Amino acid sequence: MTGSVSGRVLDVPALADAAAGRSEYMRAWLAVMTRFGHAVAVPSTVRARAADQLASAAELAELDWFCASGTVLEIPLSSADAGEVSQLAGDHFGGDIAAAHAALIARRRHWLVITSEDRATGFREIGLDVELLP
Amino acid sequence: MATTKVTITLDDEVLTRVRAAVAGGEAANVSSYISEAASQRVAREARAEEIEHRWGPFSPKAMAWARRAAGVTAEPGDAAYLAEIDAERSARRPAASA
Repeated sequence: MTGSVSGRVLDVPALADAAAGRSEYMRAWLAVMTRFGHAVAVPSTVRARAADQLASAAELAELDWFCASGTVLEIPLSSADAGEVSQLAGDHFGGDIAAAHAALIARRRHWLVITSEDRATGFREIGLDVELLP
Repeated sequence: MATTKVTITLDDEVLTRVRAAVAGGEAANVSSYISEAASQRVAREARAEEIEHRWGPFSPKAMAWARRAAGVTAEPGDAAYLAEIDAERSARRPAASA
């Protein structure tokens, strides 16, 4: 499957990297996505998990700033999708709801997922394209 | 807001779609449609500059990866940076056990 150029879905490591500024890659990426008018999907569960991984109020403020970008579309986990996400989590992500939520959004929109190498297997198992963090 | 009349050239296919959108009530006229599209692009670029001002400047290597991850056209020199990134990632992988 080829990912659409119109949008991307973020997994936890990508969002946490952007908020904490662990590298410059994700922040540069947001600038490019914004300049080209492409959408950035942030599952609400991914945002919650990323927030858990941030160490300071300053990093949380950067997360809020990132998500407030007009480019970013935060997508809640609806009750209608909860069952499918739970199933995906159990089958492919070792019970990780955030990863499964990202996968569901990516599958429906035919968008690529940005994640870390150690989390890529589940996405690939269900036929999604991934871009690995450097 | 003050306005200025300008002459622009559009691809025929684009113009056909713009006129169809106007006929469908999506914009008051062709000028309005084009003006809105240009305004949206200006706003996007302003927002991107805001990000670059807050978090940049970004290295050419980061921009090369960002372009690939965003699915936009590569610039000259990107391939070398991307090869470097991929090599660094490979070097971090634990060696396969014998």
